[in-house]
Amino acid sequence: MAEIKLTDLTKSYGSTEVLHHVEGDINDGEFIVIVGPSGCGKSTLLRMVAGLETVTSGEIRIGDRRVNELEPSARDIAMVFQNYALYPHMSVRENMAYGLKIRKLSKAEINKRVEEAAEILEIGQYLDRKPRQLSGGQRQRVAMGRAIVRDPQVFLFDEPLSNLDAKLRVQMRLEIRKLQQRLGVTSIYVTHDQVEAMTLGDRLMVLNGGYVEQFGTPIELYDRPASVFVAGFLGSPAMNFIPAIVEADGVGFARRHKTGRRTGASG
Amino acid sequence: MVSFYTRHSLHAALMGHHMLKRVHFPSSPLPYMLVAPQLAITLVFFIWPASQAMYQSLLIEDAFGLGSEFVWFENFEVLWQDQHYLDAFLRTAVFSVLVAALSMGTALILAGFAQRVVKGAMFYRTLLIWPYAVAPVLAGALWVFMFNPTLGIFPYFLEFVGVDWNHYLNGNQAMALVIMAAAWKQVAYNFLFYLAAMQSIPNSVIEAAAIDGAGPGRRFVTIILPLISPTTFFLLVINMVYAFFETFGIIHAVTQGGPGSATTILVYKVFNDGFVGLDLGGSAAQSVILMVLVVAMTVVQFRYVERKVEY
Amino acid sequence: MPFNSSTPVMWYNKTALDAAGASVSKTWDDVKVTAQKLVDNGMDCGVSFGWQSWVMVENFSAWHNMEMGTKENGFAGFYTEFSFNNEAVAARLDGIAAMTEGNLFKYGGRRGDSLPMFTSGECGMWMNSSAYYGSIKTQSEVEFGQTMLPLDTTVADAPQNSIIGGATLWVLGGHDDAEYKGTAQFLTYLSSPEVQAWWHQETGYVPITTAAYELSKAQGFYESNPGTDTAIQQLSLNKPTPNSRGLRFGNFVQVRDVINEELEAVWAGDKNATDALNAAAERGNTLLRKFERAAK
Ligand SMILES: Nc1ncnc2c1ncn2[C@@H]1O[C@H](COP(=O)(O)OP(=O)(O)O)[C@@H](O)[C@H]1O
Ligand SMILES: [Mg+2]
Repeated sequence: MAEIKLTDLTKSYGSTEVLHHVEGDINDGEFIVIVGPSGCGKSTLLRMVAGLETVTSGEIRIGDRRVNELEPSARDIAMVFQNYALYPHMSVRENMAYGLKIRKLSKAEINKRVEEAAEILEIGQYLDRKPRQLSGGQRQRVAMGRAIVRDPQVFLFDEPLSNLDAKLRVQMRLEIRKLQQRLGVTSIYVTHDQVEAMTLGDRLMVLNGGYVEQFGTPIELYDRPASVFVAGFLGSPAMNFIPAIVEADGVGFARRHKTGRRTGASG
Repeated sequence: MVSFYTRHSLHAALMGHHMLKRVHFPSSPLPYMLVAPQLAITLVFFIWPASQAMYQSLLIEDAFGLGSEFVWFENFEVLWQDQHYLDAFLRTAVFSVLVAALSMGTALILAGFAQRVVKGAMFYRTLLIWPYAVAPVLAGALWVFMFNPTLGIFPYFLEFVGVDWNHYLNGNQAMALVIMAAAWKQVAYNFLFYLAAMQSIPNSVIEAAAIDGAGPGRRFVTIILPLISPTTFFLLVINMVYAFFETFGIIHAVTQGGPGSATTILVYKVFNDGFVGLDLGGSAAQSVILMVLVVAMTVVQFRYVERKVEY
Repeated sequence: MPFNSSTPVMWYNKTALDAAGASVSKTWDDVKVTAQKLVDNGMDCGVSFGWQSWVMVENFSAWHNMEMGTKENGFAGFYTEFSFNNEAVAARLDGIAAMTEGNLFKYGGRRGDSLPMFTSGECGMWMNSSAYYGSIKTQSEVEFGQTMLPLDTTVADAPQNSIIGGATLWVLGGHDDAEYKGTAQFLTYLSSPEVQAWWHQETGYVPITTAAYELSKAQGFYESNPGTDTAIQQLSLNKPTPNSRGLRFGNFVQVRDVINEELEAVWAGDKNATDALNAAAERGNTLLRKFERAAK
């Protein structure tokens, strides 16, 4: 278990900066959801934590270690990918055991962990199948299983449910939440779906165009959005906006002005 | 660790043979008309010469094709009793396996590196493909020149490490030389297929392995190699067929089958006995045997690639 | 029409011989002594040769007036048997194989592959076709000369004559008269003394007419290039005997490959010459029988 500290994180591809001065402290055991529209940099941020992307500037700390320079394998994290990224040539059992074998755990210990995880995820009867012999939902569970057997300090999820049908998505969402609470592992979960974000996260980090718009609990974000963007992005049905100007003597409606300034409208 | 790879659709084009779909036409002459040109080409360029070779293998003919005698399977019996021919079998097996192993191994390593190259990737890949366009005899001539015991650059350097290079006298060196020359020519082809196969592996699978704690070497062995195994098997057959059939030009240019008969492989005997020695019947019998071998290899390939190597 | 005809001669590196204090070899004993001197004087190898079946078996036999095969080397008809697997040839080949010790002899390939060994100054003596004259003249980094093939004094007291090798121009049937007329004119041109003399002097092939030889002599070519008439002298040294008139065997290209293979086993030390020659003769005879069946 560990806390994660993001300090003044920036990411550039060539001369294009795609993440700008991201700050955020994540507590031990917390479930954080990074949410925002497509292309805002959610995956990039997650992959930087995983070690799959370099850090342009700033610092990432997991527990008491600065991990900027560490290989993914040295960060003690586990990740669930959107397309699951199962090893197609290995059975479910081998998929889950792969990381444990590399860590040179005993055969007995590997078996124990795999069986346990399979029981939790209810995939016990599929252990000897290949990924192509599984349904999308089952593959998703295997991907989760591969993450939890590792017993890592941090779970990273990159839109793990977006390839499932709506009904299954809701069911899995609940299961992920329960599982995370039961294991108590610090988790970062990326999604573009605000309903998923609002129902899953202890706290949400709303990203827009590479900037953190707001970082807080779902209720905080809903009740006191820090920007029009946050206000508009969260909530279903969507919030209505009326352009207005704050004046010394109260609130004047924006109809008098051609251009509305960016203001926080409280609901 | 940064991992992004350029990816293009070459793979789809190259891997087309894996995706056989079965479509049913209602009975009409159209499908037959559509396959007619293909059939005609097959008949004229493959079936006819092949049956011609089979017929010739039953004859003993003089060099100018003026007189001939029908002798049934005598040409085959002669081969069966010819220890030199039987020796050539084993030699061909060794040669083919080593050519395939060397060219595929080299191509695999190059593809592994090329995959990671981002800047100038096209330039690099184009360069690597060039040898494939070189005619076998020219390729042979090139290697002969590089390894000429008196003038060649390699023997000059080999002398410093205590190797006395003379492939005109040393059968193993001659074999090594024709293997290198033959493998070199095939590297480009294998490289293309391996590169396409590697690029078809989703990045996320490699990344998942990295997160699971596998270093580059282990990822290559436990993830990439198994996932490209259908390509490996396909290339193995292609390369074996190449080594069996298309290397006589290289051997003719490099060693003429010598020293002794150290580099006389089956196809070189076909070429030499037929085109140089003008022993048409004997040469035809040998090519019929080769034909049977390649058909066998192809059958194995189709069976195996279709069924077993899938994951 | 015969064209590009030549015969093997012995090429030598004059500079190297002088430096080693050796004289031009006339016998195989001389060759060995000279080779030793050359190597002792720092050369990489004493002697080498190419086209070994032609030079070391066919011409060695003719030069010492021995038959290579029965029935006058095949001229008297079919059903010949090879007889080159005799003691004299075997002893000579064993002698050469023994010279690989200390690099007195170095093998350099079946055809002309060993030419660079001579022209680059690696080997002091080289036996191969007189027609390498053109190549040697342009490539050689050393002063060179040519002399007659060495005599094996254990086999004969004097050389007989060497036999010709090379190519022939053929005119095929089935064309019309005008084309044959043109062809005849071309062949007449090719065999004219001027053209033949020029071809001979540039390449080292022997002239195909006496007139061309006389012309070369009149032009002073042999005087200013001593040794260039070696091939002609070898060929016309004596009245040819049935053993030195030439060869006529079927499937001979393959037979030569067989001889190549077997001799290479001798040079590599894998076989002694007697075994190799016996094997070559046996395999050669099989090829002869095959040829006879096909030609029937
Ligand atoms: N390898 C890359 N090279 C250049 N730009 C990239 C690369 N990966 C992502 N980007 C850019 O960075 C931005 C954020 O991408 P990403 O993190 O994938 O967004 P998302 O929030 O949808 O996950 C996008 O504008 C994308 O185009
Ligand atoms: Mg994304």
